[in-house]
Amino acid sequence: MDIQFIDELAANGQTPLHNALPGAKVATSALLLAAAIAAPSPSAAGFVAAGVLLLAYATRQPLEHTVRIALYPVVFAALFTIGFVLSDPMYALTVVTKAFSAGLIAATLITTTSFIDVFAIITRVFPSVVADALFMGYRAFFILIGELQGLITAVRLRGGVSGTLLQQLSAYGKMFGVLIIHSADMTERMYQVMQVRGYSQRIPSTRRHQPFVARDLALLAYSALILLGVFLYR
Amino acid sequence: MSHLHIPDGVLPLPWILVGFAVTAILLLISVFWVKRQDRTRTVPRIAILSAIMMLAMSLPIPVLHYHVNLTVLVGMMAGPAEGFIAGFIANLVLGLVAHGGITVIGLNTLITGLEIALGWLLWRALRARGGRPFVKTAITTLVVLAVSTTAMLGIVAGTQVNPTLATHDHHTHSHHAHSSDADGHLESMKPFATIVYTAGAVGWVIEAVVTGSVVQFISESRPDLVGMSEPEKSKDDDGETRKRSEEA
Repeated sequence: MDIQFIDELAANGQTPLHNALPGAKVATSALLLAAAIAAPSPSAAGFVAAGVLLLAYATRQPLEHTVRIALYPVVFAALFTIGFVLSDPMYALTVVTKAFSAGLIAATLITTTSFIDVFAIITRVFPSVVADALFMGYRAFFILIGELQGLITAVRLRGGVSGTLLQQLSAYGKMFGVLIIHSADMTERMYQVMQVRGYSQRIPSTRRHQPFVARDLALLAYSALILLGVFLYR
Repeated sequence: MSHLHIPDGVLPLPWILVGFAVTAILLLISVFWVKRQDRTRTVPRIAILSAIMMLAMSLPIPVLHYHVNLTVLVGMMAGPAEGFIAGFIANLVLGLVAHGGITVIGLNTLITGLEIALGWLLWRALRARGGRPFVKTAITTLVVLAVSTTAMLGIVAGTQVNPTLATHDHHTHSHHAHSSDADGHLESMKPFATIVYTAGAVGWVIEAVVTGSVVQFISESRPDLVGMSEPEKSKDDDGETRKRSEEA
């Protein structure tokens, strides 16, 4: 799961959905997700999946990226339903299709909206400790992944990951050990910076309020129609 | 796959809501607990721990294509309150990238939280005992992952007593049909449980070796990070330094 790549797509992508308001995209995703979860049969789940695929296609975001992300939950859903393939194949198909739709909804949202914009919306309901740790943790992730990749390259160049499987796993663990010790120092630096700059018990994350335009309303109407379609089917 | 993320669409809505409700309560208790400490110090620590978990869960180990979670390590380092918040953040971010479902962030957080809390408890019991930190950590990790996998199976089995209700009309089922559906469901759970326990066991061993190596490494240079006392050598050094400063 390449969070760096997803972040790159969200930050530098040029699709029409990138220009939609984050609030509209989050609401659209919530409605579509509700439709995917509520779908009671393979045909209803297929209807939602087609609707989501159409939206993903219309955004002009390369489908290969979003579908690849969506296939990950499909593998897990297939595992969960493996016992039902013979006894209740329709149930298995419904669950797998639902998982695909849900994965594609998440993939479409997160490859067209930066994490920070999504966090700014969803953290409104979180306690400040959780919201602040979420923002700082996301930032720290990119610092640590850069450091880990550098470390892995350096160890590989010195032949540090050769040997038996156990030795390789041990080397992998030691690399994480180095990273954790560095991260402890990083925590201390963050603490000092917060002390110096002052910490008002909440990192501001809200943006200037913008009204929905026709494009945002169209997104909402589209997803509401799909949800309505599922409920009418039930 | 030492820890299985439940995807969207598998569990029925009432259980999703229960998962969110219980997670919200535990999150509020954890936040209340954490707020008694210096937040300027606590918030960065939780942030870093969640980043470490995100990193571990998003990077597959080369060749094996397994990813570790380091939830037990987070429990050992941070305890249940800070660890639970960090686990929630990691699950939230991973849910947004379709690694585990969005609607099951609550239930996935409960499983992660269970691993963190159990890891903390077992480590507290074992850390002062003799033996290499690697062995003690590996045992802790194996036990914790076996319990959490069973808990996850319990959730899936318990919440889907009648999966056909998800695909068929509720009114067409008699009581007799319901009980036979339940039996059928439990029967259908067997292949899934077999896969989870066999493939999962390989994952537990991998996670145990990696976590054990991390803790062994940390305990040699920064034992304080996992709640262990300073090595004897350091104590002697401190004693020497204190003696010299007293003499001065």
